[in-house]
Amino acid sequence: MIAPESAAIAVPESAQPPLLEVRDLKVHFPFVRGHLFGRQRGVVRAVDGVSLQLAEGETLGLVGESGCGKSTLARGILRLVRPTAGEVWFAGRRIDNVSRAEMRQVRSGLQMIFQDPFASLNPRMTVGRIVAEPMEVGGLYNREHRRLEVMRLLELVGLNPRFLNRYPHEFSGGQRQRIGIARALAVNPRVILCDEPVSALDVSIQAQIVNLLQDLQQQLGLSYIFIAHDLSVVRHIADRVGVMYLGRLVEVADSRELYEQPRHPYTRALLESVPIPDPVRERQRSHHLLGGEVPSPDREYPGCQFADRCPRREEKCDRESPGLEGESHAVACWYPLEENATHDGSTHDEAGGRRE
Amino acid sequence: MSEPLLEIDDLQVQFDTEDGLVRAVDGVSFDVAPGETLGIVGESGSGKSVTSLAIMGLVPQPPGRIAGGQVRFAGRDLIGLPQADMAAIRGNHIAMIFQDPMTALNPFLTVADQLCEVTQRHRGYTRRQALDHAVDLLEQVGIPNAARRILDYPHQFSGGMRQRVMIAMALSCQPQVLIADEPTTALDVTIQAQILALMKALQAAVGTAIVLITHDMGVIANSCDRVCVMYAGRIVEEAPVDELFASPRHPYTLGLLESIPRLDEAQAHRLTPIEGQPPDLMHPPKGCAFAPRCPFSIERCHAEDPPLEEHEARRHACFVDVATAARHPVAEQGGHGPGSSSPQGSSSPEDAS
Repeated sequence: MIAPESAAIAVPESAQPPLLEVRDLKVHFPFVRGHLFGRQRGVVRAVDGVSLQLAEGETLGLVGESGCGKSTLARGILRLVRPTAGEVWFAGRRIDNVSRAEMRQVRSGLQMIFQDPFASLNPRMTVGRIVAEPMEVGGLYNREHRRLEVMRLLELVGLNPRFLNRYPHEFSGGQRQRIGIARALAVNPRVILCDEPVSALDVSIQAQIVNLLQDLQQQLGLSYIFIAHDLSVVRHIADRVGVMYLGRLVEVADSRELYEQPRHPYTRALLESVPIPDPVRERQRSHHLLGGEVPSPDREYPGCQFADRCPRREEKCDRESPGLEGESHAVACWYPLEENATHDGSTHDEAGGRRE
Repeated sequence: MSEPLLEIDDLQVQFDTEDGLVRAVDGVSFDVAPGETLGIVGESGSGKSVTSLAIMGLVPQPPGRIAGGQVRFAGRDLIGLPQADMAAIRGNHIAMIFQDPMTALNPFLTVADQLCEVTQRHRGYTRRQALDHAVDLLEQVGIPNAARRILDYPHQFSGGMRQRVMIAMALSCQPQVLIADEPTTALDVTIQAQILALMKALQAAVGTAIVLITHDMGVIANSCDRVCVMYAGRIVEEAPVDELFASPRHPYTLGLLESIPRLDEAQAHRLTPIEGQPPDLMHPPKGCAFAPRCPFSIERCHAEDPPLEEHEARRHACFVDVATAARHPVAEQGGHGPGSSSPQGSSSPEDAS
């Protein structure tokens, strides 16, 4: 539990040690741009010092815009990309430096489901083989037992076990995501990293999958890291939520608190940007539009990375980088919004907010 | 309400595929008044994008075919118009923006070339005039350093900036109708908010009517005056935006609204999904296309197709009154697995699109 001070992070209230812990994780990608002459070297800081904890049975949501590093973070945890620095602990064991063989074993406890279920399923394999494969790799059960297990899993995710011998293209998007979930469950994991699991699905189907994930969590005691750009879905499913910007966590809090009392100016801007499906409320809401765009992650910032776009920017923000501070509601900002300022309220334009 | 600017009347668009005939748009009718924003909401395969392509005369033929109906713009039917006449209207009086700007922008031409072409062709501008006008437009849509950036190629812009370029191009002749097909779907929420605000500001300045096609009920609530809900190639409900959200009359509209989690609501309740899968347009069900997934369906729904009828300036196509009718479990979807979140248990997966 000795995380660097700058990366102090909200600890869930239960006294149990976290099931999964990430300490100051960095994933940097070096790049070379241009041709022989005028060649530029640099580093994309996709994940740049993230610390987080996931408790047993908890759902931690991770939100942020494209390029914020949320997917790379998940891949770094599972070592689908190699972290540049930092530590990952799972069930009391450090896993970022174990051998390949050991990592294979670790992955039976730590699984992932992906956004595009079709791209993540082998089109030439039957559903039965797709779901059984992780068991084969893990050396679980004999052939007959595996077949029964596949049928049990298909049933569990709401698919007819008779579909065993069919191919992925015969299924709709929602059904394919169920197959992806069954495959992830095949090795009895304790944690599932869900990377945009519903964003490719039609609205009416999204709710089916969200409900399924919640049911499975209850039945099997699973823990989720739920990564999505859809803030409404994350509010619905997550117990705690972390907001990422340019490779860093800028705010972490209980779901309700984060949505009702955001403290980071970026979080507030993000929330106010989401249109609510209610025309009357939508007309009454304040929309503080965020100017500009997410800058390229290959730049180094002496100060706060959000300063360029921030309505509350002060001189200090350009000089010093704010750490993620706070216990149950952590925020990385020198001038966070007041605790009692709701994002529909009027208290947020107080002193200091310099606008363009 | 003023005279409609655009009238779609019983539009039928069909596609011949290897597996048979698909009725992608199956008798769609609606009007667009000057200066209003009409939303068309529906899921993939509902026919909303094909409708917009048909208005623009852009349905690929073959395999597509306009099998019937009219698209009247300022009183004149555009269906069957000679290519040259259509080209004079497209981009000039009716313009379109797409989800992915790269499909509309030529990657080999600079933004200046593409923007100038529109006004040189339709307005007879000289290159110099067209260039001044184009820089002006880019500034209006919020592109910094417009005079310099206009010489860039599309790939040198970010996704949000590219969408602005496309909006500038679409607005370059001050069209009377702008058709926006999922204009913000590929963008991050903060950029989406910028683009929606931009479209509203330009509409207020120029008076363009907008047909906004989206799957996002939040975008509809944010931007539209009136809404058509499409399902399986048809309009199943049409209403002014406030009334649609306050009292949906078609079970599909109600289902959509109940199935989406809301940013302004805590997670207290469980989501209510629409059970089953969207219909296969190759083999549409008999009767109402939504009946197999509908918790209100009665026997008649499976035998007869409900017509789209007008009541009190609204339209909906349903035999049942959802305000008073009782719900029943959606029977033939079969209960497999946890909770009610089951796909089609008993029907074969080929039914799924």
